[in-house]
Amino acid sequence: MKKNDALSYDVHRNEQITIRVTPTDFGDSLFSVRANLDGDKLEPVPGTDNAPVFEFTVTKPVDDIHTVIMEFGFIQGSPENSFYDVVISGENDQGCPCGFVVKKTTANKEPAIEFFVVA
Amino acid sequence: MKLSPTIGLFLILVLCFSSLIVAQTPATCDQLRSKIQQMERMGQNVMSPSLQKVHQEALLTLYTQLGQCVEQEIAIATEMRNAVAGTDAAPPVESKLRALAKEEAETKDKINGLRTELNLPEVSPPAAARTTQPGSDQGTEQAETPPQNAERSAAGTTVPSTQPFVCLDGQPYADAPPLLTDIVTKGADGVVQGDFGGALSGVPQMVLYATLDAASPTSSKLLRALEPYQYLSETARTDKQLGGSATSNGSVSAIEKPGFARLLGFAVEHGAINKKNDGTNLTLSTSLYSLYTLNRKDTAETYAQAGMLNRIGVFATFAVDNQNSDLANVRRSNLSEWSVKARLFGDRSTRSATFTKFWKDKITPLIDARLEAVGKPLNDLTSSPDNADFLRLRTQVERCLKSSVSERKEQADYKAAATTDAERKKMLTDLLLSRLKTNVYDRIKGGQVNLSERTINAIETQYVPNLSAALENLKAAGGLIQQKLDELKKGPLATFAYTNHRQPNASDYSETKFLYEQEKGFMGPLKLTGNFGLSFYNKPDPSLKQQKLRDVSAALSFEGTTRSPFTEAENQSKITYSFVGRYERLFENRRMAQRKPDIGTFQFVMEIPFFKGLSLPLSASYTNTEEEKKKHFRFNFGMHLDTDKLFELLKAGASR
Repeated sequence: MKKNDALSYDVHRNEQITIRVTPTDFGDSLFSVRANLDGDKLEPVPGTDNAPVFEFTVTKPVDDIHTVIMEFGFIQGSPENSFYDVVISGENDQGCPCGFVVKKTTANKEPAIEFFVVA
Repeated sequence: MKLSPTIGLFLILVLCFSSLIVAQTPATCDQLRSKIQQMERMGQNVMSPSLQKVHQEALLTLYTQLGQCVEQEIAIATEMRNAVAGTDAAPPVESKLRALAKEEAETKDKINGLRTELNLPEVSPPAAARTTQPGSDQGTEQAETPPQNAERSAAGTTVPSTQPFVCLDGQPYADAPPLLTDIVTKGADGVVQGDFGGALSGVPQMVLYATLDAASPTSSKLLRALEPYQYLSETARTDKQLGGSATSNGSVSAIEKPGFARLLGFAVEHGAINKKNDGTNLTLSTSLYSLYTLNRKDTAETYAQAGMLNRIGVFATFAVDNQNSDLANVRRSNLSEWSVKARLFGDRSTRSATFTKFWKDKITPLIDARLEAVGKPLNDLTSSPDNADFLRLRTQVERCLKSSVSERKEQADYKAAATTDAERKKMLTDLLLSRLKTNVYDRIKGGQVNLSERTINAIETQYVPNLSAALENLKAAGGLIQQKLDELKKGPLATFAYTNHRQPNASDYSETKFLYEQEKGFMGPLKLTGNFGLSFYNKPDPSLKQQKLRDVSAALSFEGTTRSPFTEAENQSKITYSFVGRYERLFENRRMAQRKPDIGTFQFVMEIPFFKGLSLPLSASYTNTEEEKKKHFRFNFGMHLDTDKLFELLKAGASR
C-alpha cells in the first residue's frame, strides 16, 4: 500500500487492508464508529468492540477504486478532548504512518478513504 | 502469369467479403476481430482510389457487424456480472465488461471515421441529453448536441470518452444543493484546520452529489430538497446541566506521602484530577479509573479493562492560605476533609449497558443506512461498465480538486496573516464548488460524460430517495436520542460515601452515608433524593461526653422543574424547586445541659432562570438548633450569573 495522502492510497489486487480505530479519552461516554465498503456495511472484526478493526481484501480490477466511508460519533456529553485515532495498513506500506485523527472539533466526521487499485 | 498487387488485394477483399455473405451465419466477435485485423494490415497506399473505396466499405461493414456483436456480448456479460456479483468470480467479469465497453467505443469511432471518409452521414446521435438549469423545479428536456466521443449504446451502457481531461477553472455553482455545500464546507474547514493531515476530505461525496444534481431534472429536484446531515452528536441542547458539587457530601484524601504534591501536579496537568478553588477551599477530585490511566491511554479498551475502578471516586478538600499556588495548599495541615464514593447500582453514563444496547439496536442501523445510501450509488457509478466515463471523471476531478486547493493555499491572499480562518474556509469552499460545477455538473449535464438510462433511472427511483429516507430517519433519531439521554439521567442511582472530617478545634470524625436518587418512578414528575448516614468519632473525647457513635441522620428531598417564561427560545433552562427535610440525632447532646439531641431542618429552594445565564436563587428555611429554645426562620435570595451558560447561548446565537 502506498500513501497518497491521509485519505487516499494506492493498493494492489488481493492486498489485505486493515483499518484500526482507537477511541481515546472518551471516559464513560459511548463512542460510535461505523464503516461502509463500496456500498456494503463493513462490520468490525469480532472481538474488537473496544478498538474496532475493519478489514477487507482488494478485489476490484486495476484502475478501479475501493471506497470506505466511515462515520465517527461523539455522543452528547463526551469529553471535549476525546478523539479517534485511525491507523490504516496494508502490505509493504510506503509513506506511512498512514491514517488520521478525528477530533470532536473535526468538521467532517464522515471521511471517505479511497484505495486506488494500481496493480 | 504475374498477378499485380492491386488485383491480388482485390481478390482477397472479394474472398473476405463474400465469405461473410455466402456463409449466411453470424460470425463470432473473435472472427470479426481477426478479419478486421487482416484488413487493417493491408496498406491503402498501394491501392487505387476505387479499390480504397471498396476496402473502406468492407471495413465499414465489418466494424458495423463487430459493433452489433460486441453489444450482444456486453448484454451477456452484464447478465453474467449480475449472476456472479459478490463472489470471487466477479472481478474478471467486471474487467471483461470494461474492456468490451472500451472496444464498443473504439468501434463506433472507427465507424464514424469511415463514414466520413466515404461521405456517408454519421450514425444517428445518442439519446437526447436531458438538460435543465440547476435548481429549477420543472426541468425542460431538450436535445443537446453531444460531444463526438460520448454515446449511449442500445444496451443502456455508455462508452468512455477519449478526450483528454482538463481541470477547468470554475464558474460559480449558484444555488448548489445543500448537501453538496455542506460536505464542501466541511472539507474546506478540515484543510484550514489541518485535519486529516491537511488532506481534502469528503471528495468522493462531493463528486457524487454534483453528479446526482446533474443527472436529470428529477434527481436534481429530489437532491435539492434534502437538508444537510446533522451529526447526532450535534443535537445537544443549551440547557447546561450543572451537577452537584463534588464536595457536597464532603470528602477528601489524607494520603500524605513523599512526592504527593508532585504526583498531583503531574496528574492535574494530565487531566486525571479535577481541581476547583473557590478562594476558601481547594477541592481535588478524581476517580480510581483516572489514576489507572495515568501511565496509559484512556482508550475504550482501557475503560473496559478497568472494571470496578470507574465506579470509585476520591475527593479531598484543603483550606486555602496560599492564593498564588493552588498546589502549595495541598498539605496535611490544610486538609479539612477527604472522602471516597462508590457507585453501588445504577449507571447514568452513555457507556451503560442500557444506553449501549439502545444505540446498537436503534441508532446504528440508521447510521449504516445512510452510509449505504451514499456508498452504494458511488460504487455503482464508479465500478459499473454502464458508466464507463464516470470512473475516469471521478479520478480526474479528485486530482483536479486537490491540486486546485494546494495551489490556492499558496496564493498571497490566502497566506496573508490578516486573513482569518473563516475567510480561508470561504475561499476554498467557493473554489471547490466552482470546480465541481464546471468539471462535474456541466460535463454531465452537457453530455460530455454520459450516464446510462439505467443509472439515471436508479438515481431517480433508488439512490436519492434512499438517501432522503436515511436522512429523515436520522433526523427523527436525534429526538429519540435526546429522550433516551433524559431517561438516563432519571434512572435510579445509589452511592455509598465515606467522609473523614478533620476539625482543628474539635474531634475528627468519620461519616458513612447511603445516597439514593431517582427521578422517574413512583414520585411522578418529582425527583426523589434520600440520604441515610451514621457518623463516628475517630477518638471520642469523654470530657465532651462523646461516645464512638456521633450521630444518625436522614434527609429526604423532592425536586421538580417547570418551564421558565423568562428565558430565550434557545435557552431551555427551567425553574427548579425543591423541598428538603433533614433530621439528625446528635447523641452527645443528650448528656449536655441546654442542648437538644434532635435537630430538624426544613427548606424550600427555588431558582428562576432569566436571560443570558442570569438566574434568581431564593430559599426559605426553618431550623431548630442544638441550643434549646432557639429556632430560626430565614429567607435568602440573590442573583447568579452562569458564565458558561452565557457563553453557550452567545455561541448558539452566533451560529444561527
